[in-house]
Amino acid sequence: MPMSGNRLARSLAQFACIAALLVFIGLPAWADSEDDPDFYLSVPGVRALKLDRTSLQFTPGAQEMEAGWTQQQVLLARVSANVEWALKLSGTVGQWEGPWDKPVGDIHWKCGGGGYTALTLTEAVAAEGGPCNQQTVPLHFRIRLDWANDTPGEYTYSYILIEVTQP
Amino acid sequence: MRVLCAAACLCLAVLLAARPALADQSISVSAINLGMAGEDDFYAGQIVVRYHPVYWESDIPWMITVRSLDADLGMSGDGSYIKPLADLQWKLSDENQWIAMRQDEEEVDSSSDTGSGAVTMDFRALLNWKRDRPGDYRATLRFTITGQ
Repeated sequence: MPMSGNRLARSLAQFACIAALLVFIGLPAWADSEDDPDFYLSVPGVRALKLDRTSLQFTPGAQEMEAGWTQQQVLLARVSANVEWALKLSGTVGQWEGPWDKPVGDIHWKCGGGGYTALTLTEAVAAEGGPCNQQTVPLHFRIRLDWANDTPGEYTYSYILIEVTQP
Repeated sequence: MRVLCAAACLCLAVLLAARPALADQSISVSAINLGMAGEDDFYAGQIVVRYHPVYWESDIPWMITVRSLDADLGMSGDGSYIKPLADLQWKLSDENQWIAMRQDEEEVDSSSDTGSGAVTMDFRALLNWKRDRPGDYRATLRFTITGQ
């Protein structure tokens, strides 16, 4: 049925008003970043080592000379890593500096249970592990003493290499 | 009928004339590259980029929002770990409170200033020795400027 003139005019007027209102209000203004920026982060395998001290000092007395060993001292290694790691140690020179060429093998070490091992110029694995945050690894040291050779004096051994590397 | 049509057209013309011109707004942000995390960053628990500019233009009062288009920061190289989106955090450079990135829009800043300018933002990624396996992590961010 055809629309009457008045009805058509009313509809047109309503449409015009609604259209005008929409145009007036408009869509909210907005704009996105022209090129959405990317965030990047590269995480490599990271292993880190902290030692609670950098030197150990032994002052053996007669009792220790008699026993053939100094008392043990402990160095705490703290390992942090986001990948698997191995804590290794080795000597860097064959002899001590001192009154005689005391051998590197007179330095003995152990980690955790088990017996002591003589330090050598070859890397030895003290401990291994996976991702960790400041995991404490105690390294025990003691020095072999010998009445016959260890004449009085200052003996220095520099350096023991302690490092954390991939297993 | 003619009267009604004329009234409607007049109304439309008046409103169109009164309507302000379309707002002119734009926003531009370059890539946010935090680089390669190192030992010091891991000890600090974070890697930070400061004063990253967010350039805006607007001829009306504005508000800037940010959101991530990705649900997470991606997978580690060995596929064993998905770094959560919340490990990416942001703040305005002159504020102290870090806000975790989300997929929902968060207001960054707003102002009645018009023209052009820059907002500076800080971004950081949280780092954890035990969780963050090696990998290249990324997310695409969307910044939006809207009229207030």
